[in-house]
Amino acid sequence: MGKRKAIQRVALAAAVALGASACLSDSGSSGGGGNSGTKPGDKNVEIVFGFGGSQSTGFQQSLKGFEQQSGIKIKFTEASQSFDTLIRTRVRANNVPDIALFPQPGILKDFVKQGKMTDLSTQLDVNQLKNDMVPGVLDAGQVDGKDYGVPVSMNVKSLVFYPKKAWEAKGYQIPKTQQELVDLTNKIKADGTTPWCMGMESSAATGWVATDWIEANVLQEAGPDTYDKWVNHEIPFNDPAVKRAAQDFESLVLADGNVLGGRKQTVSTAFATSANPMFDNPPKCFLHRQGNFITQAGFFPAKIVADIDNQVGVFQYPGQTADSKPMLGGGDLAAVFNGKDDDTKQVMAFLTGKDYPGWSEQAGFLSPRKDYPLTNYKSKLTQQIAQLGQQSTVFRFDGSDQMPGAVGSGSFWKGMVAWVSGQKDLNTTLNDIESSWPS
Amino acid sequence: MIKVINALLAIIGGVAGILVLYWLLNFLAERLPGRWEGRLKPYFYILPALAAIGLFLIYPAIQTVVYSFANATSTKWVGLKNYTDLLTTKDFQITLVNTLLWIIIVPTFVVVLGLGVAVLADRLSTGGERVSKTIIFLPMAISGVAMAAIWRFVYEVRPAGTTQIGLQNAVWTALGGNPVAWLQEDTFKLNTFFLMIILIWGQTGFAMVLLSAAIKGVPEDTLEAARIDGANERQTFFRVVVPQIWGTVITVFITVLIGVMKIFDVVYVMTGGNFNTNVIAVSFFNQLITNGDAGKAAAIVVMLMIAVIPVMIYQVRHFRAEEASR
Amino acid sequence: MTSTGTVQPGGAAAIEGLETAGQAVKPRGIRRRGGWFAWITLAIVCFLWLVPSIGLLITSFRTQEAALTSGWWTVITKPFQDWTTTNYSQVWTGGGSNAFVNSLVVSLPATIIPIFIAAFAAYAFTFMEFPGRDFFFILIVGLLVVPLQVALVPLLKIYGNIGLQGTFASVWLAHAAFGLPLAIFILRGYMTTLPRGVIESAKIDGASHYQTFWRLIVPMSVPALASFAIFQFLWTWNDLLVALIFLGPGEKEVLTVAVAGLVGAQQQGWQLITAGAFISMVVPLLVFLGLQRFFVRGLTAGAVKG
Repeated sequence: MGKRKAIQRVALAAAVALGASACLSDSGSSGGGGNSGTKPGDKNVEIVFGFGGSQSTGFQQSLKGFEQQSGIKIKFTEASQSFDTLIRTRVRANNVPDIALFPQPGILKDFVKQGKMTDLSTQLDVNQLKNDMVPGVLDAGQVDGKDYGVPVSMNVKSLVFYPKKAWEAKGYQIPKTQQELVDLTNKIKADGTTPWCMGMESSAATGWVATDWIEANVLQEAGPDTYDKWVNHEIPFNDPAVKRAAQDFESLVLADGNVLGGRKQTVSTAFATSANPMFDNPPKCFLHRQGNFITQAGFFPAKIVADIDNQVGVFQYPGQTADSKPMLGGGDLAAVFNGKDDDTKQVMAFLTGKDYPGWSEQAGFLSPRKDYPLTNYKSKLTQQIAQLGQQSTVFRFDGSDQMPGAVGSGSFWKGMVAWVSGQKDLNTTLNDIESSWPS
Repeated sequence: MIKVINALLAIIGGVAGILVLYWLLNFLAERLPGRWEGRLKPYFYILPALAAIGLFLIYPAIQTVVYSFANATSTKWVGLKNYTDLLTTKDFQITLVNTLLWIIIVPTFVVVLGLGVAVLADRLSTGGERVSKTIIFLPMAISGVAMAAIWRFVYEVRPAGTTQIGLQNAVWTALGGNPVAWLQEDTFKLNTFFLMIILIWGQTGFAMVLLSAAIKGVPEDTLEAARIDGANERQTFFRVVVPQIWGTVITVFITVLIGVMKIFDVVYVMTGGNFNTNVIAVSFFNQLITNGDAGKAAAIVVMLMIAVIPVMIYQVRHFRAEEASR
Repeated sequence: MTSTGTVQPGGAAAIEGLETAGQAVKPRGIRRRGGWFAWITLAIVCFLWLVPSIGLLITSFRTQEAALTSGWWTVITKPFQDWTTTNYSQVWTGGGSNAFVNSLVVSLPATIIPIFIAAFAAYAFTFMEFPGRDFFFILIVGLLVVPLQVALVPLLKIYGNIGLQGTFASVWLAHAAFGLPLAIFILRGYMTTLPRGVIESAKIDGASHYQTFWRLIVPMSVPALASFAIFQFLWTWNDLLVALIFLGPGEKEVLTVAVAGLVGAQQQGWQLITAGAFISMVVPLLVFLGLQRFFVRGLTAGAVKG
């Protein structure tokens, strides 16, 4: 083969290779947009969030009007079930969005310590928000007195649901104090029904149902100050107050005959549908403590959800006295990564402002603002829950969500599973969790 | 429609690019003066693979080794602390034992079952072979999340007196037993075995496909010769077929073994590592994502990398022996 | 380049074998037919293997409530009760044809590209002698144990710097690289079982490595190449993590990302996953059935005799 021919071949091959690779980048970049974060003032804002389904559609809908008005285009990065993985990876790679909605302040606080987050007082009128929002909801996003996260939506967890019709037929009364709740539990048991329904199984997150119980008990028994110290590890995790909270949970719910299926099986019972035997005829239990999310479609049986105001009753998990109404809750905290973008400021102002509609068409959304009109909520039940939230004497953010991930989504969950299922006794469990607290 | 055309162009472009790349590499290698051609050509052939792996795997792997001696955010050196912290906790020791059980039991079952199916299916009519192999392969096509969804309907437990929707408890209670929370039963590591069944179910298809390919490659004349010599079917299989496909058997075994070292979804979704079922990849994930501790996560990966070296050395020795014997 | 015209006997035979593979499905009379033992054993194994999948299929056609209140096997006694196709329609409208096409655009090149790269590398590792051969091989395959998650952060950084983030090419390259160690491992494992005599005689006939590779090794390795293609396709098709991080939701979202987005924060809507599983299962099964014709006896037999 001649030299010239060889050169021709190489040239041809190079041309093809070039064409092919040009094609690669061409097809790759068409449709555009997908690079890291957005630039200040380019009218683009990226929000990362961790919920899917109708909540996600509702959230995206709630910003439609704003997008049209302001001309800002919002990129919704929905990482349903994979929020932690996505946000950890992107932060480590310095490829951050403009805003993220954190379901757990623990991770947010991690990022604050790494210097990744923006002090929100540079973005919003935080003092005004403190007046406008349910007291306490902003505390969870604070590090060293500075605010880093503001809730866009909130949820409340110190709620007990009951089957309204069967309950009224039996003539049970809503308990106003812990003692009354204990008496009611014993009465239901004496009447021949298992009082409580509870399920802890939540796949890799199994355990949070029990941590919610312990937190609610610490809050109502030892009070908000001790609660805060416990959450911030100013007192050890295995403080006597915590032990007492666990023991009271044990005697109220885990005792023999108090929970459907028995103590050990609750660990393998799916939380989502664990309350459903409550709506059997006759009911297999009368009491179920859970967050307000449980009233959305997909948890209670469909025919109950369709008639929810007549079928489901709710009361606040009572405090020590009738005037004490502490509320445990949570929320999706909006936090800002890049604080130099005016577009982001506008979005944040809208999300936390008076005019933000939220996705109240969907049960499960509660506004953290005190001035949010209750009539926006579709069902009477949600209105009642929202009212309970606004009227609580104390509001505290879910403690395990605020603790460092290694405890809050790690040893605390796992410890509860081991304890409730009978693998470990209470003292060992609490000591193990204490020693797992990262230094 | 434009999207589909674009997609097709992208696919053709990507593939053509690769073919041309090799043509060019070979062309360049052949232009080299005499002895250099032979010396350098192997490197030209493995160059694209090494380059891709270097950037996407070796660089991160080296970084991981470095991080394993640093703190959670990789900002300060901590020496061997990550390793000692891990190895001295009881939970991690249990995790290691569990992982060891997984890597002994699962690959063995997968290879034996896969081989059995491949051999037996080879003897059916074409239609029978196709159907049975498709059925065994089916679970491989099911994504991890969906797999968890369906096995939940096997191990699910409901309180006594309510309808059991889990298959195993339905059978168990029909036989007169009380409902059992199967995934909590850690006596004799029973729950770990229940989880292993899921993976064996999912992976046997993998072994079957590769082993079947190998069995089809066994020359007919060698089988025929053995039969003429009076060997029965079993003898033919163990004396003629097995030695010829042994290389593939080992390859499959090690592939499954390495996959099992990284087993994650099944355990993470079904038990979250509770009830003494934790395995090493779940620990890794929890350290990296839940705890945000890049140091300990990296230390776990380094331990895996060290653990796999003896396996690889065995494999290479086997290849050398194979070469020498031919 | 001088030997282009001469085709060595083994190569011709091998190619011939490939061409006839389509029709001559199984040489008759050579292989003993299995008796009742093979049939019955396989029938039992297949039944056991099918049970969970059937459960998944039935569940995907039931309402969420029915699935949670009675076992899926109860439909056998009362078929079509609480029967619904909404799970499928919801997944289809939620993910849509767009996500389906995206999944194909991601998976096909991400399957084909590593096959060629790995085949060349495996050829070098099997049939060529060079210093560092075992070292490189151990290095590559040892990387099989490295979990994907450790590579994501550095990759995201690199992609961000060169503007590749969010493009299909970024996912192709990532999947190709993550698949390479396994591909090289499987292909080398297979190639060592190929009869060395064929390669030797090709060399004597003056065939270059490049020719030997294309004319002999590739045709003879078709079953192994097809096997790997199936696995790599399955892996990229079912992948959620890589697609979520590099492509994300939106315009370029793949099927798995779309389906995951249908599930709520507290797992509500999980029943859609069962339907999603079957929709996304169709393509890998077609790939498997399509490539199954390469697992045919006699494919390599000709080459061996040559």
